[in-house]
Amino acid sequence: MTLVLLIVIPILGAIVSAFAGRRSHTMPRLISLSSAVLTAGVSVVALLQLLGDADAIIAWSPTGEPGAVVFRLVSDGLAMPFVLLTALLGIVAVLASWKIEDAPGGHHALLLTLQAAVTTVFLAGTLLLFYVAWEAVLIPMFFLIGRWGHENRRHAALKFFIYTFAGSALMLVGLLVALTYTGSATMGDITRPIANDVQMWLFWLLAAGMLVKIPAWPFHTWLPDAHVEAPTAGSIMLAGVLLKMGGYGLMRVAIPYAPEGFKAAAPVIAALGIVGIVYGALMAFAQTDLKRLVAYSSVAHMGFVLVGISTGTALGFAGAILAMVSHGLVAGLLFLLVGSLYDRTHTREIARFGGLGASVPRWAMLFTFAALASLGLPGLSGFPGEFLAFVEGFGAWGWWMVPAGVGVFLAAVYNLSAVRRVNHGPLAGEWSDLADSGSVELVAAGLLSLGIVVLGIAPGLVLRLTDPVVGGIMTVLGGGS
Amino acid sequence: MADAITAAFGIAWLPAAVAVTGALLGMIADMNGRVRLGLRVIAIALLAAAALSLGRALLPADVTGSFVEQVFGVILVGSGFSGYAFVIFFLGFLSVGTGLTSVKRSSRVGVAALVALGSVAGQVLVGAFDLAIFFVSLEAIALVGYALVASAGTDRSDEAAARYFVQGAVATGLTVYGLAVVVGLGGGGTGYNAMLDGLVTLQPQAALLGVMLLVTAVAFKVGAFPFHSWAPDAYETAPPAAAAFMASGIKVAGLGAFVFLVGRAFSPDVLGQFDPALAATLAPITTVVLVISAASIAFGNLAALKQTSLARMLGYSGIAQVGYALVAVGSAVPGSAFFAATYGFGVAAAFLSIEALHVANPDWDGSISGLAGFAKHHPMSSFALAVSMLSLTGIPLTAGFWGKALVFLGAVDNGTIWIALVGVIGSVVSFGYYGRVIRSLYIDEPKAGEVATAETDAGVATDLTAKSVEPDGSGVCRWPAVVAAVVILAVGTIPMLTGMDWVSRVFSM
Repeated sequence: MTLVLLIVIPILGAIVSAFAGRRSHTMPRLISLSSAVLTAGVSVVALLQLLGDADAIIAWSPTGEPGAVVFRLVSDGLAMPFVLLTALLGIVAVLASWKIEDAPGGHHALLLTLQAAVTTVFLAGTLLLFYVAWEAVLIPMFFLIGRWGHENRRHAALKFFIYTFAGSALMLVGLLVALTYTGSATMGDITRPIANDVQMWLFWLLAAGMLVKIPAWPFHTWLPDAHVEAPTAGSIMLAGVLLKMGGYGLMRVAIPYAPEGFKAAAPVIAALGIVGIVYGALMAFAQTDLKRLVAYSSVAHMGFVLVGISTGTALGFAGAILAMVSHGLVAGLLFLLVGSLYDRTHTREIARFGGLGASVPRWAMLFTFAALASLGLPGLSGFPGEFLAFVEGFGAWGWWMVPAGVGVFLAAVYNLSAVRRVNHGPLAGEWSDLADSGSVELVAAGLLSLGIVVLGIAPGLVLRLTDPVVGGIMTVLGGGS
Repeated sequence: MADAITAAFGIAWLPAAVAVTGALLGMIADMNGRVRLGLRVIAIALLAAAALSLGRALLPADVTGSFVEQVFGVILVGSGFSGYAFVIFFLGFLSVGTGLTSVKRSSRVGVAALVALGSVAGQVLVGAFDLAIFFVSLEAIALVGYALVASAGTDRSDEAAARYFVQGAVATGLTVYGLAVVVGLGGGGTGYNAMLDGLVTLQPQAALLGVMLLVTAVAFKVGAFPFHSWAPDAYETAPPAAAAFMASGIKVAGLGAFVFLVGRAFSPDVLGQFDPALAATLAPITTVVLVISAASIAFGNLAALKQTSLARMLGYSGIAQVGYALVAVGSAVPGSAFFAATYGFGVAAAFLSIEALHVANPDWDGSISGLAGFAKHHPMSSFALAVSMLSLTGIPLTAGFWGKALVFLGAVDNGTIWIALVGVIGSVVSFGYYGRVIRSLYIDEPKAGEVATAETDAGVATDLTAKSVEPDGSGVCRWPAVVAAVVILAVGTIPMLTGMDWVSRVFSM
């Protein structure tokens, strides 16, 4: 029952907020915030239930019996970190759009709908529900980018939709093939394993949707446009949780259903990951637009996730999961900060900033912190995941990982140079009386920073949840060889 | 009492009788100058027919025995088709429900009566278990289509109707050739079972030729590539409210007829049980249909991408959608018929909202870019149009998704994964133009001071102004579009909670 509440509360909140928006400008954000907080509370309850459950799995379906209907929700250790991440970023996204003036009712309604859809992806207990939720995510995001985005939003919204739809449409065929060959629509019910030769192409069909979503180089071109043009809350959700759907999908669907196909494809996945790390870092370094810089850094970070997954080892998977959760927090924080800066200065041009450390010290401190987390400073959340992925990648792919090592170095270069160019140096005259981060923003940033520190010090909190599920995937992977 | 109700639902011809009676009464009212009353009578009759059909589909009605029932039992089959008839009657009801404001006042009731007759022909067509009945009802419904296109009364619509008629006549000729071979060379029986008995006695090549002609001709009749070129003009020039039925009800009936013809007589399963040798002879037909399907999907989607006029775009995309209905041909999964029904609701919602928007904005030139900013002034109609676009693309939470998912599942089930891939790639392309409509409605700002006709060819503009909405045109009903959109959303979401069983109950053969 808790699981269905995780979806129903945001949807109800969305409906109420859409109608409240007609009467008042401030009602929607209050409704939106309370439903986001309530959802977060319920997800903590779900976490406690999961920890108390002997089989470490909780499920819900309207008829009570599994397999009868499409709408079946399941949460295990693999889904739970992402559900919690979504709930946390849901609150942050609401706070980030606290001051939105243009049709706040619709904006908050779409944010909550988006949160419900993403949560459904992570909780999907049947193959079809997985796809339904996966696509349903696109609709609110399309409107968020298109209606509340920046200058080039019309183009970015359609491009985002069509690119990701192209990947996921192929995934739909893959899911239907999986459904036909296993004879069961229930997620993970693979009593009738799929023939090896089918797995070889089935894996790629399934992975098509996920690789676009992650996004893996060279399917990433929608990402800079969509991230840059989206409103701040949209960017936070997009980078924070939507990208994670890709990695989650690989571990939840593509690899369990086509383990042999995955083994054959692993070198290619690793190569895409390594190229992504280097390419993302180089592109981030070359950007003159601060938001675009953060967007490209996502490509690099998600490259580590791909490398971690491609190793096919328990530690590699653990690294990938940690890297995803960490990137959700860090990218959320970076987009929050860049967005709030844009709200005040109406520019994202790095060259026009400088010396902001003197004029907006609180903002500058948070930005430095986020940049350090992004470059993978030990003790913050970026480190354990990418370190594990890197080490395991070295074990699996040997010297091919050297470029990724260069990528780690480049991450330090582009993050620190961004900090230097924005925070230090002489103060640009036009920003001398800039307002510093307000309390709403500090609360949002504080929540994320807390998560970054906790995860950096005690990554075991997440791994304790995911280990049993990853172990199960390892059995599937090992059993076939 | 309860028995009496069940018995009433059990009478297969009752909905048809109700609809025809309504049409006649409406015409009588029209003779006395009571246009509004006439429309209302026909709408109510269609709604009643739809309700009777739905009742029969959902209730376990096996009451037979009356003379008429026995006669109809030979040429029409079981309860399955009544769910499908419900869709056709309901689409007719929605079309008439708009008040047909875009049609000339003097011919409104006539058009409504045509819609009712077309629905009846549609019911007979999808229930046909006899080639003669099949053919006659297919022609009857096509005639209604020609008349609906011409009902705009402009030169362009006359031309479009004539083109539609000529191309339809060619397809009819092919159908007749097919019938001549299948029935004439065979045993002479027109019932499906008698026909199959006759086919076994034929030379294999002759049997293949006859069935191939018959099956492909019916596919062309419903607008598959390459017999498609009437569609864009017809969709664009017909009055939107009449197009709402022509593009949905008639198309649904035609697609359903095709699916049921193949499913009842020529599917590998049926033939395999009947005579394995015949099944082997007729095997190439599936491949031919799949090629037609792939060509329709590719052509329709690419041609629709270039269109600036909304109705014309729907015409081209309709060609692609016919292709989707053929994707799962011969599959045991009841996907194709369900897909056709979801398509019907999708395209009906689109045209019904176009009717409402057109009447409310006589200045709108019918172009997609001209929709900019409509969402603010016409929230309900815009919502219905946006939902219909999502459904036609096949985005989840709408009926269209389940339609497409089931046909692709059928294709995968048949082992023809390539056509499923063609289909999904086509769907992605289709968002290029369906999405543009949504973007225009909700995202684009209307450009102030811009001449409305600047972005489209002059023909579109002059034609729509020539349609000249009458002073009482403000009485257009917006609810049919919203009802269609609500149906789309309900069918898109509720099966996730209840299971898909009722889908196969309503749409099984």
